[in-house]
This record gives sequence, structure tokens and C-alpha cells, in this order.
Amino acid sequence: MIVGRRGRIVAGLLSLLVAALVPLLLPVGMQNLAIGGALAVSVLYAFGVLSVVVLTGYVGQVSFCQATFMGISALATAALVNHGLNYFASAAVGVALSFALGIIVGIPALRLRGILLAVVTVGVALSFDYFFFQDASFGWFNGGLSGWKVEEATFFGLSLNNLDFDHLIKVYWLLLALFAVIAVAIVNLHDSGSGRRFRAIRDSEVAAATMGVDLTRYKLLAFGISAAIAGVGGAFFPLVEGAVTHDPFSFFHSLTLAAVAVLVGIRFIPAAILGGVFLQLFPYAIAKLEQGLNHQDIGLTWFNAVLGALLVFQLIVYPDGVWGSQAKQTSHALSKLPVARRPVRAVQ
Amino acid sequence: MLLAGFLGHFAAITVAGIVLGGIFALTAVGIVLVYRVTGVLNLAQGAMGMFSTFMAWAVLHYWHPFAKTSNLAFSTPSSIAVAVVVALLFSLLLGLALENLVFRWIRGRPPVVKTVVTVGILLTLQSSAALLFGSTQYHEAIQFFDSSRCPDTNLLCFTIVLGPVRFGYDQLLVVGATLLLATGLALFLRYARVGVAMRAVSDDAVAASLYGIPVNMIGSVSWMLGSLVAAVAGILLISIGVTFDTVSLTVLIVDGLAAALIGGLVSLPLAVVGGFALGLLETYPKLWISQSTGLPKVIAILVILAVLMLRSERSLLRAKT
Amino acid sequence: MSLLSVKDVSLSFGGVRALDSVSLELNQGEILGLIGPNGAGKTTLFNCISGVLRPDHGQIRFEDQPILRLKPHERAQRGIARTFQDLQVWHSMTVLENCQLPFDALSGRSTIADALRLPWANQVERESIERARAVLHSLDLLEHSERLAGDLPVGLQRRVEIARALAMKPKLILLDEPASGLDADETNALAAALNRIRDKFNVSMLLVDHDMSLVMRACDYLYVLDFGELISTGRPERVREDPRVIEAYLGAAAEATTEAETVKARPKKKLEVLPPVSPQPLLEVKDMSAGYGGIEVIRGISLTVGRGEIVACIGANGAGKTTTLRAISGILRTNRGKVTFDGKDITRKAPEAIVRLGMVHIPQGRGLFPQLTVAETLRLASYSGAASVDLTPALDAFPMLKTRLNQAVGTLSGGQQQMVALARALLVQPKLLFLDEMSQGLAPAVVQQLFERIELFRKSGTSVFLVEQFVDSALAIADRAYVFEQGSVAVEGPASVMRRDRDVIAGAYLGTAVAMAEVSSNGNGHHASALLADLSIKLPAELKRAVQERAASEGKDPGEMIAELLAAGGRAK
Repeated sequence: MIVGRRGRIVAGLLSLLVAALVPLLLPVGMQNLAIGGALAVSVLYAFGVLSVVVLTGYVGQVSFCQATFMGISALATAALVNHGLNYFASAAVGVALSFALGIIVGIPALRLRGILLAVVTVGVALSFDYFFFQDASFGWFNGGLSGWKVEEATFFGLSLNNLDFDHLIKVYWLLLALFAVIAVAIVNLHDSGSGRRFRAIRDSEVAAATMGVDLTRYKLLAFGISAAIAGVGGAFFPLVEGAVTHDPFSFFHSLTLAAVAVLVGIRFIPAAILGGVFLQLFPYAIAKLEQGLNHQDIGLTWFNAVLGALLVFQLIVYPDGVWGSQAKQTSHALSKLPVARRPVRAVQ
Repeated sequence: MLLAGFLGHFAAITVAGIVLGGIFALTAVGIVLVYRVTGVLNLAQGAMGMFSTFMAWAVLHYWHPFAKTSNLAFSTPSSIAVAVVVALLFSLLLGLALENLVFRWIRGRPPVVKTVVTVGILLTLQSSAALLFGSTQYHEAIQFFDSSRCPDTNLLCFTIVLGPVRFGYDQLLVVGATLLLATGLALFLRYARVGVAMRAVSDDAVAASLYGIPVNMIGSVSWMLGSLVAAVAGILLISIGVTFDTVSLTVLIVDGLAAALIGGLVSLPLAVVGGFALGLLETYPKLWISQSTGLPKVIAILVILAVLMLRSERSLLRAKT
Repeated sequence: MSLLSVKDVSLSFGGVRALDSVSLELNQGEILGLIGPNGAGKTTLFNCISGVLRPDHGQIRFEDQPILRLKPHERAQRGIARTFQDLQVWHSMTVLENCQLPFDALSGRSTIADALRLPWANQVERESIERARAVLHSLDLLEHSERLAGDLPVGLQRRVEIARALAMKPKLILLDEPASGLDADETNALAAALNRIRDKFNVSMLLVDHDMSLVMRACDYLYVLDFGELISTGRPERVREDPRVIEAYLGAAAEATTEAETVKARPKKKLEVLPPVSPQPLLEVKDMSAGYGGIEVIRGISLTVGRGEIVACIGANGAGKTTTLRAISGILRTNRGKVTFDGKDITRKAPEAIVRLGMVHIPQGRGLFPQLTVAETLRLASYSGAASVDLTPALDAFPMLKTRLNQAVGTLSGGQQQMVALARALLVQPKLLFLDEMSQGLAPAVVQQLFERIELFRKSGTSVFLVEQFVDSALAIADRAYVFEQGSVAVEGPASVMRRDRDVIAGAYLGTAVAMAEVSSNGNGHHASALLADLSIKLPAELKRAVQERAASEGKDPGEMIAELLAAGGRAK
């Protein structure tokens, strides 16, 4: 480790401070709702990317259903708010639901690894997307075709809404603070005994188990923590956007989250905030460039097209850049044998 | 009378299930083929088929020789044939390009990395298709047997009736093409020189190279065949529907994976059987629930989970390291 | 009271019995050795004890408690630690972190306290660092504590695994081949270290290794397994004199002891080299080096194969024979050197291109495709540049294949499989045939048949390059031979001369063992039995077979044979 733990935390917090100052430094002409919303949503996506960093980067479990974890919390929060519950209480319930879903998805991971786990998470993302998030019979949960609308939330007397730039920026700051707290907690966790247990599972499951790590507990915990972090991001979606539908939590968004995390660095927390900015501001900028088509979807589609290609390119050209450990593992497996022993294939 | 009504309903749903199962079976066949020979679990199988299918749609849409409008109802048998041929040729090119530009360079990487690469391909194909062909609007289906052309508006036009069971020609085409392609592939792998070489590569690629088998070429053939099968599945799927869009074809992957897992990711015949079984499983709930967006996908994931929990991991990954 | 007791443990994988009613008792404070040939199920037994696998039958008790129902981490909590044969250090964590983890895992640290960095979490963290450093210090690893474990060389990684196990403060450590990948000096140091560790940390150990010098030196008590069956138990000095053990390992009686005392050292000699068969050899390898994952396994290999020549390549396990073949035939990229075949430069060409030039390589394990039928496999010869796919010549040479043409290769016996591989090579009619460990895992009678078939290739003008464990049979049909030692060619010369001068070969096989024996005997000849132990147990299985064969052919007792060889080998040194 080149920079000490404290150094990394200070640097991270400083960059978050800079991020917090961005809205104040914007020229007055750009202090509009669209820009404010884009900033706030970046932080929400940063939670999503952070959840991939924790689960895949730290614990080595592949997941293509992180947007599902965001969605379950977003829709639950919005539904509860619409039933008259306080926004933050609803958000807490939403995050708890995400945590629970994470644990449930973690159960197959106790038996499966690698591509088979990936298949399961793809299935989870798709079935939640199409069933619980879209199906009319779950209208009480997903709000039907039009989704849920959310007016505002109050936080200790502070009114938060997305009606004008000033209010939205307060939401943005609140989210940044929340992100900072969670990120520091995750860095602490990474460097502590609990984090070592997670990383040991990533590097060698069998060694971890025989050295006393309870695989069941820590794998499920990892899925739970990761899902809860994604859930925090999801829970504030309705507040920032003013409304929520199934749309931002589709199967494709899960893939996008995973792809962005891989691209910006699966092992690094700063990458999460960068990934969030990527995921929101680039599509936004692209959409702006498309004359007359101020449609976020078009921007995101362009973004995804380029993202996929970049991902493929990166994995071909920089094998150690991402999931590097696995490539390294392979070469280690070979180098430790003085002579490669090939299995004897005979059937006697 | 009530019973007869139910039987008719049941028969119609069974036929629909078998037809849908054919599409799943084809998708699964593509997944299994590529996984066995090249060791890549391809999550972009559906997206590849989707893109090729849209090439057919684009041919009809932009170059239709007879109609100035985009109304596909004016497509003629010959223009449909041209569109299908273009789509299939495109799918071969797509497979060739993917093997030569991408997968040849990541041989020997961990399987997970290869699968993440296919996710990148899925995203790119899906998004480019949405940009090129439009994602939000629905596209009209390409109907091989256009009942509006029937001399009289008889319901039984292009239909075979066997007691309570009615097969549309388009439905027969799906099932027939599925069985034909699957059998053809099986025969190809069994008897053709290249097919035998493909099986050799799937057993042991290094030993195959010592036999002088051009492993790169075999990889290309596998990807081309996989892509071709995906395109056929896509075209068949849109031929039995009313409308289609980019997403509905891409997400075929989860049904394909479920069927392929029933075959342990290695067995073609079992994957075909799995496809048909899954098709029925996903369709029968319609006996009780008229309209559900997501139930079929839930059934697919339940099948995946059941298979993964029942089979040992070793038996699943036996085919490839 | 026994610390660990294993009773009648059996386990099969898909019909193959890996463990067959194995029982053992390990006492408190003991270093128990478990020896036996490859595939005797030693690692499987370890997996059963540490909870990675669950046996089909049997009982395992630790401190008089049944532990079979416990999960791996629960057994770790009871005090069972282990190391792994295929190194399983946490490669992206530092050495220090590797040794902190067992403490973390067992102390039940709170995830929430860790995340919030509460004061007591910091306290525990400091404790765990101190403890890890103490363990690292006692194993001389402290200077590496901040390096990533995956970046260390193999020897150090093995030590990290032991340190990691000790950090658990275990009562019992299971050591799975701790000496594999270590050289003789490192092995010596390890044996000393294990005894020191046992005293210092007050642990018991169960040790499995191929390297008998380690087992003999480090263990208090031995269990000897042969094909899943327990053939002997006792103190090392007793076991090594147990005729059944010697028979299993050497096929010899024990009279060799006295002869061995006369061992004297003599430098290895270079045999006179015959002029090459033809002025331009078919295959010429110049100064070739290659390896796996950055580690060079073969260095500066130079060799030639003439047209129509049969060349044998012999040497101990791990000497680099197979790697050399793989590098020549293009499976493995060479780092340096030049390979010329039939006048063409084939360095770094793809294997499929090299095959078509007329070089067929039958790799170790035969390189067949289990799903394909015999006929399909033979027809694949068309890819290797065979003129036709007429199977008649192959079926004439191997008539037994006629009835099995449509059988899947995977269902054939090992000998039949090797015939398929040879038959396909025959169809290709190559200029050069590589045969890697053709006789591996086959009965001697079958091997004899196969060797006769090699003559067929010579008759059709094919050169043959053999890597073989049946030294004598190989030398009998070969014109020339290369003896490999530690990744390079040690000796080369005409096969006939080598056959006479068996001491040269024995030297190559026994070199390290003799050197070690000399160290331990201090030159006064007092440790004669120790000397024999070191020598005999270093004998690879293939030499044991060769010795048996030779003894049978000359009508001598195998024990006598070994004594002769040892004397000769010592002189050769």
C-alpha cells in the first residue's frame, strides 16, 4: 500500500468536499433543475457502483442484479411514502428490504461461484424487473404504469424536494454526506479483521474456511451489505426525481452498473463516485448534444453502446486491470509447479 | 360443452407452449454449442439474435421494393426471403467477427472474465440496435403466412386442424425449423469432418492443436453457428408475434440459459428437450392467469435455481475448465 | 490419549475409491508421517479431516469428540489447521494480513465495530498485528511481512502457509506436501524447522509428503499407505527396515545396507558422443529455454534427432523432459533458442502448423478425446497432413482396434488408448514422432507390446523421440539417449553405452539423494542406515520399475541390484 489508510480517507473526503462545492461554483445560468438533478442522481448511482465494489471487488462474488437491489428499495420507499409514512422511515424500510433480498440472493452463492452465480443473478435481475417491478398484479408495490410520485421529505425540519435548484442541492449535500459516511465505514471494514475475512473469501475460499472463516455467514453478510448500499441509493431516487417507475432499475441497468464498476476499477472506492458521475453526467451531456432530443434515454443508450465496447476492449488489452486477481491466480497456479502436470485421462 | 371448451383452450395453449419452447431450445442450442467448444458462457446470445433479426426488419423497412411506406404488410414472399437471407448472412459475419476480434484474444482467461466480456457485447449490441432501429416503439412482426392475404377471411387460413388442436403454419414452421436445425447440428457434429474436429476441441483444445486441428478456425465456426442459430431463433420468434422490440429478443437469454442448464450446459438433445419443457412451463399458467408480464421470467429463474441446486457443480462445469 | 483418531474412513468419487477404510491415531505432541505413492488418497484424507469433504463412511474424532458433523471453520475453532499442496495463500493480501486472519476469524470480531472503528476494535487490531508478527518472526518471515503473499517465490509461500496455520494457535497442523517445489537445501531446513516449531508452539502435526527424506527426518511415527491400504506403521527406523515397505517402494530386500557404506564420490563423466547419423539432423534444438508463468523450467537445452533415429530421453520427475517436448511442438512458447525441423525454422510456430510439417507429438496422458470414437479419432489424422484417411495400415498394425472402431475412446483401457494414439500417428506417417511417457500407468506386458510397435515407425522411416520411465526398454530400442537433470541435459551418448554404464543414469536419478546422504553421514560412515533411507526413498517409482525389470532380466535379486547401483551411483558422483 503506497498511501496509508488515513491518507486515502483524507483524500477521499477532500474530493467529496470538492464535489459538494460544485453546485456553488456553477455559473448562475447553469444552476437549473436539470443540472441539480443530474448531480444528485450521480451520487445515487455512486451508491450502486459502490455496492459492486464491495461485493465483487472485495468479496469476489459476481453479481448482475445490483440495480434490482436499488429498485426494490426505491419502489418500497415510494409506496410507503404514498401511504403517508415519513420519507426517512420509508427509506429505512426500503434499505432493510434490499438487505433482506441481498441475503436471499446470497443463498445460491453459498454453493455456486463464477459463471453459474452470474447466471443466477441475471435471472434474478430479469425476473424482478419483469415481475415485481412491472407486473400489474404488483401495482400496490410498483405503482402501476405511472409509478409513484413523491413531493418532498423533511429532515429534522429541513424541507427537501426537487422543485427548485436550492432545495435539490440540499438533497445533493445530504446524499454526499451519507456517501462519505458509508465509504469511510467500508474503508474501515476493508482494513479490519472483518474485511480480511471478506478478502480471504475472494482469494481462496477453501483456505478461508479451514482457517476459521464462517463462509455461510460472511458470504451472506457481504451480499446483504452490498444490497443495502445499493438500497440506500435507490431509496433516495423518488425524492431526487420526484417520481419513480421501474425504468431505472431494469436488467440493463444492472449490467451497466457492473460494467461501469469493472471499467473504473472494481477494487477502489473512489472509483464508485467516478462511476456514478460517469453513469449520470455522460448520458446527460450526450443527450444535450443531441440537438432537439433532450431525452435522457438516448444519452444513456449512447453511453451503454460505448460502455460495452470499452469494457470488451479493456478486458482484452489490460488483462490485469480488472478481475486482475483471477488472471494472476492462474499464472500463480502455473508458476508454482516446476513442471505442469497434466491430468491422466485414461479410463482403466 | 364446457369440457370441450376447456380442451380447446388447453390444446391451443399447449401448442403455443411448444412453439415458444422451440425458440428457447434454439437459443439453448446456441449457448451450449459455443460453451462446449470455446468455453465461453455467452450472455449475449439473445442480443446477437436480436441484432441479426433487426437486419431482416431493416431490409424490409428501408429497401422494400414495392412499398414506399414502412408498412410491412406489403412485404412479398420474395422480399421476405431476401430479408431473411441478409439476416442469416449478417449473423454469420457477426459470429466470425466476435471470435476473431474478441474471443480469440481472451482464450485462457478465467471463465468469469469471458462472461463479463459477453456482457459488454450485450450492452453494445442492445444499445446500438436501439439507436439504429429505435428502442421504444414496437416493430411490426414479419409474418411468413399473412392471413390478411387469404381469399376469404376464414379463421382456418394457413392452419391445420386436428380435432381440438389447431396448428398455424407459422407455428409448424417454428417447431419444424427447431427440430430440423437441432438434428442438423447433431448430425453435423457427428459426421462432418469439421464437426468431429469441433468435438475434439471441446474435449481438449491443446491435444486438438497437436492433431493439426486449426483451433482458431474451429472457434470461428462455433461462433458463426451459434450466431446463426440465434438469428433463426430471433426471426422465428418475431414471425409468430404481433409486434416486437429490441429488449424482448435480448432477454431470451434467461430462458435459453434455463434450457441449456437442463442439459448441463453440454448436452444438445437435453437442451432441446429442456427448451420445449420450459416453453410449456412458462405457457401453462395462462390457463389461469390471462395476462402477466413477468411470470414466465420468474418460472425461468426458478428452473435455473432448481437445476443448479439439484446438479452438482462439478457435473455442470465438467465440459470446460 | 490420542489427539486425532480416524477410523475406517472411506470415500469414493463417482465409483472410484479414493479412500478405503483408512484408520490412524495421532498422539498429542507427535509428528505423524503419512507416506504412500501418488493417488493413495492422502490429500483426500486431509480434506476429510479438515471438513472440505465428507467421507461416505467412518468416524473422525478430535480430542475424543466426533467432528464429522462440524463445518470447516468449526473444526478450525477446535484447533485443526492445515496447509495446502496447491498453495492457497491469500495472494492479494500481505504476508502480515495472511497471518492476522486466523486470529480475526477465531476471535469473533464484530463487523459493526470494525466498520465504525470503535476503540476496542482498534485494540483487537493491534493485538492481532502483534501476534502475527510474532509468528512471522519465529519463521524468519518478518522482512517480507508487507509484501503481497502472491508475489513471493514458492518456497516462501509454503512458509507463509505454515505461519498462517500457526497463527491460529492450533493443536494440530495438517501439512500437505510441504516440501513439494522445494530444493534439497530448503527441504533440509524445513525438516529442522518442523521439529523446532513443534517444540516452540506445542503443536502436533500430520505430515504427508512424497519427499521421503523429509518424512524420515521430521516424523516420530509413520503410516505407510499403498493403494488405499495401510501396509506398515511404526517409527521411521523400523518402517524403513520393514520388508513390506521396502518391497512396496523398491521391490527389494534390505541387504543393501552394508554395500551402501562403501559409497564414494566421483564426478559425473561425459560419454563419448557418436557422430550424428546424417550430416543434417531432422530436428535441431539450440540453446532453448522455456517455462511457465515467468519461471524457467528448462534452460539452454540443445539436442538433435537424426533421420530414422530413435532417441530416448530419461531423467527424474521434474527434470524438464515433458516441458522440452511441449516447447518443441509449439504448445509452450520458448523464451530463447532456436528450433529447426526438416530444414525449416519452427521456433514459436503454432502447434497445428508444426504438425503439418510432419511432427507428431503424443503427449503425456495420450492427448485423446474421450467423446470421440476410435474411427473418428483415426480419421482426424487428415488434419495432420495424412495423405489419405484409409484406416487399413493402422488396423493392420493394431488388429484389436478393428472390433472397437465405434467405441468411444474414453471407455477404452489405458493400453488400448495408447494404441489408438499410436495408430493415428502411424496413419500420419510423420517424419518425427514424440512419445511422452507412453507406458505411464500401464501393465508391463502391455508396455512390452507397445515398444514392439515402435519398431514399425522406424521401419517406415520415422524418427522417434521417447520420453520414458521404463529406462531399460527405452534404451534397448534407442540409438542415442539424453539424460535430463534439473532442467538441462546432463548426459548424452549412445544408448548401448548408457545401458552398460547404468551408473551414469543412477547418478542422474540419485544425485541429490547421494549428496544429502553424505551431508548427514558426516563422512564417518556411521549413519549407514540413514544413508540408505535417503537414497532409497529418493528413488522415483519409475526407477524402481526399471530396477525390477533389470533384475528379472539378469536373474538377480532386486536388492542385490540396488546395492550394485548404489555403489555405482556413488562412484559416479
